[in-house]
Amino acid sequence: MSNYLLKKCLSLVATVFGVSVLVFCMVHMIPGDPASAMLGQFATEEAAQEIREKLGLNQPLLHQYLQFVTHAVQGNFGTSYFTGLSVWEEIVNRFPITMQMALLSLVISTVGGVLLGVVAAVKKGTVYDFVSMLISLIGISAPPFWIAIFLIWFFAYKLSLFPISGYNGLASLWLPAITLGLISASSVARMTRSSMLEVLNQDYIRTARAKGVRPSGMIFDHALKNAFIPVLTIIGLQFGNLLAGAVIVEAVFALPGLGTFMIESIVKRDIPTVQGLVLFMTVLFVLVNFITDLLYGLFDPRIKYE
Amino acid sequence: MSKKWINRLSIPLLASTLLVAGCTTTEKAATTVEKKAIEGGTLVMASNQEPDTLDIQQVFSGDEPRYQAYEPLFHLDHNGKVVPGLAQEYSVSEDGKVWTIVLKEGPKYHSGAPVDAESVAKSLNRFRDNKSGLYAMLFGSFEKAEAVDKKTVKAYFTEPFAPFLASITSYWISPVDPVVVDREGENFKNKPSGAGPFKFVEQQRGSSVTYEKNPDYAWGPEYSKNKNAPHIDKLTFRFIKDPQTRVLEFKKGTIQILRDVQPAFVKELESVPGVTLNKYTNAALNYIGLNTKKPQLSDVRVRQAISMTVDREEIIKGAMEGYAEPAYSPFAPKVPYWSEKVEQEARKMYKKDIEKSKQLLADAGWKDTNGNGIVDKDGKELTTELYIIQEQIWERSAQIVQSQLKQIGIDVKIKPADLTTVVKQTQEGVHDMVLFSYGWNDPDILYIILGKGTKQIGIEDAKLEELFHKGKTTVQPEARAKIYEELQRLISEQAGMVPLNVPQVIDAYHDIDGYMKNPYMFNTIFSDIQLKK
Repeated sequence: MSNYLLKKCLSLVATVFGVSVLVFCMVHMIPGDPASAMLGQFATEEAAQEIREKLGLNQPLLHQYLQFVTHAVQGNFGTSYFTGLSVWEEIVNRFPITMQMALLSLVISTVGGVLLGVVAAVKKGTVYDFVSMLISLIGISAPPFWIAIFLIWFFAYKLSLFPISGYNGLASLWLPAITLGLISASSVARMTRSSMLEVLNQDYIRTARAKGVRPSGMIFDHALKNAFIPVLTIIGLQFGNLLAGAVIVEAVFALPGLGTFMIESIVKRDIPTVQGLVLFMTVLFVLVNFITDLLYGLFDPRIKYE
Repeated sequence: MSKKWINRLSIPLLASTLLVAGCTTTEKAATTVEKKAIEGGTLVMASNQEPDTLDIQQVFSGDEPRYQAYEPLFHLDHNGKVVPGLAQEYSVSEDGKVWTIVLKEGPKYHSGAPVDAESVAKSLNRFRDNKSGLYAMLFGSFEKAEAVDKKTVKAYFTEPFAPFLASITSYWISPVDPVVVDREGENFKNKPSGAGPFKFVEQQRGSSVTYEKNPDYAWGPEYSKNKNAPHIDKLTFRFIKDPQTRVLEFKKGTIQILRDVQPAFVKELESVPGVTLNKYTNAALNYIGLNTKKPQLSDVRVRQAISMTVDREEIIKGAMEGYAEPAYSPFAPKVPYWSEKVEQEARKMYKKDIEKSKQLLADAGWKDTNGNGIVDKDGKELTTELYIIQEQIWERSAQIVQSQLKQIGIDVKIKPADLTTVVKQTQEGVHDMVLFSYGWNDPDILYIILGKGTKQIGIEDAKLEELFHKGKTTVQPEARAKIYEELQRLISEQAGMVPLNVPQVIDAYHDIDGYMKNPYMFNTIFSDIQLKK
């Protein structure tokens, strides 16, 4: 186990290093620089040069990269070019909103997706199967912003059950979480269905049935537990999608989370913020995958970590 | 057991699908209970852009949310005339290098300090040291400001700088509270303070900015009915990026004023009972900038042919739902010294004429020799790249321009990008053509498009340069008007700019009384507004 942990930690470091190089190259390669974003179209070229000098953008790229890495290792992502606020503080302020939303939608997608998938598998070929798969088809194919607007219009505007937009505690997070949850529930449902179908045809299920195990016990204890490993993989990966989906959903719901922050920072070429955010999300994503790995052992004791 | 369980689960699921599929769009009939104007309350306005900072001397984006704590030295009234703000009067020395500003008696900053000459001089010098992106536009050859006595400030320039009048009638040059600047230092941007009708309360990054009324305020401009403290207690700006969400919040009643309504939503909002739409013409001009350094656009006849082919009306109808005025000369009519005479001349000169355009191209040597519909010269086809900002209005306009220019055999490729990229690339002169917008209360701003060393259009012309310099350094209004008339005509003839239209800005509001927008400064006059309950 300790060997496994060491390996995982090393791969985390390698991933973060790789991402740091990538994000650094990307922010410096996209056309348009922070100086022109800061000064706008009415500034003169001299003014832009002055800003570039002040921000250190005229230094050699390698020098800039090393500076960024040495600071980041010390936990210092620098300050935003625009607001002058610490990038780390801004991330810490906005992270809870995105995280709560992501967790809520993870619960929605796991519970909803697994139930839909189980129903579809157990009742294969019936109208239940058809309806379950229809719902998941809608979830996969409808664009998130459309689902979001529709949910706002119906549940917030027409029925007044939730606030339309903005952040005001948990009530504001239900609709965005449902939007995201519905999308990832669809993938979870499909995976659960196919995985369950495979397991339900196994000999041991027939044995269990022959020996008189109650159908509910058979489905959940015998079949689902065995069918769950691939589903777990999907759920783990979905977490990444949820963070990505947050970019669109947060914009529609006017939530001040990490997604909207990312978009704004990219548009403004706020290099320290973009770099800090991407690194933060990378670590988060790697950690979630690590937790997923550990959970495999919980569902299947045959899996050993070495 | 399992069967029942599944049945119980699937019925609500099925039902909710049906519910979703079957919901209808009937609107409730409006209840027409007469509401009364009240004192106090919170006014909420939706804005799509959050200011980066609230230090008025550093920020240039974010519009109204950024300047509510400040009061400018002068205002423009509803006819564009300069009227007193914190200052009573101004004068310019004979040589045009010294501006004298005399302050009003009475106004106070939020900290309680009086708005005296020393604080105003300090504020002007602070702007100089800040070096914001608007420096060249607002401050030009500014050297220093000094207090002469308690009420008189002198601003010194190394050479005459006529556009300073536009600067002191703008919010950017509003005096900042000296006590708070000294106390907060770098943090002033999070604790903005001036002498405006509202005091800053808080900013929630990514969501909102809130102000409260300044009870001591008693120096409102002439054009506002209420010159004292505002009727409303609080003023909140909410930042909502998505236009659809903004409209739904507004219709729900959680927002009283909706700024910058996109033309596509106008019809929908007009049909909502109790909603009023306010449309006013902007001072900004949408235009196509032609890079004359590119070989295919270096010939003035080619550029004139392009201007003659572009159908302004069709763009307004197709891309802006009719909410714009066509434009032919390089200034928008609200810009001082705009000449109607030149506008008419240009309108005549660039009246849509496909045959004449084709003739001009042919005179310049561009003919379709291989019959593929695109004109060519020396074996090279007339192909251009049109850079645009990736937004619906620009995209639609560009597509219309593309199809129009095709009629005379010019092939246009549209290159969409974000604003920052377009700004940078046009400053470097990478583009062939760019669809852009510019505007400011002084025509000198054209230096950014056509001034010496700029690459957006890149015409190097001694006469042009001389007129720019004369316009900037001539302070007498009559003499300035003549210079800018000549400049306007020259730019129009050179056809480096193809003016397209002056857009209308549309705001929507409901449940408030006394709404008015200043048509020259584009500020909502919040002091006059009362909520209706």
